[in-house]
Amino acid sequence: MAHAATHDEHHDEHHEHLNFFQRWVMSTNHKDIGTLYLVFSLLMFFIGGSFAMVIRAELFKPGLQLVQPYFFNEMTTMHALVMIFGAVMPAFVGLGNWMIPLMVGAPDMALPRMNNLSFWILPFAFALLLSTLFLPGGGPAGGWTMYPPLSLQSASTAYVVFAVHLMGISSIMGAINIIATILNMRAPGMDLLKMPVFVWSWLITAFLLIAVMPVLAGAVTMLLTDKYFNTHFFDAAGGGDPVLFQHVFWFFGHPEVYIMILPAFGIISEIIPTFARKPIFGYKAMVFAIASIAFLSFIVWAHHMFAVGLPLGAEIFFMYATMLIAVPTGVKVFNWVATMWGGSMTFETPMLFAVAFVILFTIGGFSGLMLALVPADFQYHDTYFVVAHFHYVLVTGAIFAIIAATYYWIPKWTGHMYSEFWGKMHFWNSVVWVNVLFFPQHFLGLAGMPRRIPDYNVAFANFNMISSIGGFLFGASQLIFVGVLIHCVWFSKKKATDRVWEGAKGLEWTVPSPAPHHTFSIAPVVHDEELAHGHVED
Amino acid sequence: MQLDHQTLESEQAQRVRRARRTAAAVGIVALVVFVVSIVQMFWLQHHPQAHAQAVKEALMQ
Ligand code: HEM
Ligand SMILES: [Cu+2]
Repeated sequence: MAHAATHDEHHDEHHEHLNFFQRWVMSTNHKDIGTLYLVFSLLMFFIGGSFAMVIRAELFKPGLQLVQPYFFNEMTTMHALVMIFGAVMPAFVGLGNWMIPLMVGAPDMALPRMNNLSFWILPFAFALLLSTLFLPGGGPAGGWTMYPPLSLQSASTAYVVFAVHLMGISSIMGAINIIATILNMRAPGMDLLKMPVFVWSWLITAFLLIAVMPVLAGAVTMLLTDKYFNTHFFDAAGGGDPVLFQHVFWFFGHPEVYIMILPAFGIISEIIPTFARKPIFGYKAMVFAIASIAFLSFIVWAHHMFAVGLPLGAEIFFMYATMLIAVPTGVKVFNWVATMWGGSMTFETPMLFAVAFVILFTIGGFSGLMLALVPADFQYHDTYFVVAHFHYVLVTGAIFAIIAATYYWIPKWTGHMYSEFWGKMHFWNSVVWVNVLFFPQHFLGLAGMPRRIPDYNVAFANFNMISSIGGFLFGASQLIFVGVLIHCVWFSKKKATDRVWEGAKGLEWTVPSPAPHHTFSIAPVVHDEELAHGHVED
Repeated sequence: MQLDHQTLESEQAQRVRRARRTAAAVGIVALVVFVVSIVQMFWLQHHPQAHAQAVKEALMQ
């Protein structure tokens, strides 16, 4: 491994001769592995998206029209699993792989061969997971939360558990690699408090992953032994308790939702300063806010379980702890706004998505705050209000940030500019239709429409139809994205400069566009005034 | 005479060596978390009175 990291020049001469198999399957290069992750994530985004289209088509009108109820339940379950573990998480790992070494001046990730393994586990994990849809007896249909006893009734438990184990191993190895890279591979002068916010956000996220992915692995292992090896962890008849599963699951699950948003916070904190042409407002406060959110995310898990019957003291503790998260989250939102304040802003596509993120993510934050109120949650729990909440934070939050990051860095990756016109078309279509899709779901939830059902009361017909129309058009809008990507990679004639964006700062913009296969073989000299967040006093 | 290999190491090689040590430490933490998450459920199963008490408290309201 020392060899791979220190003898770059030698490799550079030779990589031209690598055949397709050697370059992509045997890859140990952080940029190529980053690309693999991103392509995989895009594929999963469309597979998960097609499941969502099935859901919205069935819900277009009340009554059962298109699919069997069991298949509908398979779709909601698979949609969530594929989007969470297949689309959002691998996209962030891909972005981290590409950008972290470039941002801290390292020649590669610390453990390049493990990096290869972390990626290549994923296609097998998802082949296994998706194959259950074709099995006799069908795939998992008890929801992504896998609550027993329901989740144990499907024939595919063992497949799902094994697939989750594989994804977990992949994420843990990815997190180990990121921690080792950030803590050990930084160029001299790149002190911890000089790192870009994106790198900080990934460092903290990686620790969250290390703390909770093994817990998920433990939880699903116990599901497996309950079903096949005569244990009774969650089986009331045998002295166990199904509610215990919920505690273990959400001890993983809530930090998991922050795993899907902290790197997004990092991305937005890179993009806004660039297009406002100002250093980020309150760099240290931003880093500290991310760390506080990460810490708090461990003591709020039971806000997903208010309705199962917790001791009163616990309900109150988890309510207040959850509401506390709004404080560091508010710090971030205010600092993004303050960064824009008085800046000379331009609105290229990455900035459009970043500004939309700030506004729409905040809507999701507010609905989260409503859900944190115990008595209110008794009403909202398991309704479409929850669905609206988490889609605002995950689609207009996490996914918008991933799209923004792609537009922001793709000129560096490919050496070409994307089409700004079509980028903006993608943006405006996405931002309009995503709201048509998810905003009415707040009303449906408040009116009492339960989540995860294929049929509903006719009273809910209008908002469901509007939501479905928004869904189809939001889905179609993402085809524009694919068009922009294909054009940028293979057909764009417009060369990107090294700096790409006038206001861009940081080490990643000092290397040529496209970034050569090997960069920073010799550690760069870090100039403080060249860093994105400007000079930070100690 | 004993050669001090660490001072002969290039800076980059030194970073990679330290990174592998960090990685091993973090990997061990992950393993421990996995084991603990299952062990505590075992513990609860073998202490039914603790579990019954918790359930009773939860349902008291
Ligand atoms: C201000 C911050 C937030 C607060 C106060 C909050 C609060 C809550 C609460 C109380 C619930 C449980 C609702 C119920 O089931 O009755 C919930 C559900 C959920 N939240 Fe949040 N949330 C916040 C931010 C986020 C973020 C940033 C994400 C992800 C990026 C997220 C993702 C989710 C998901 C996926 C669920 C639903 C899980 C499920 O049952 O399938 N939330 N949130
Ligand atoms: Cu939560």
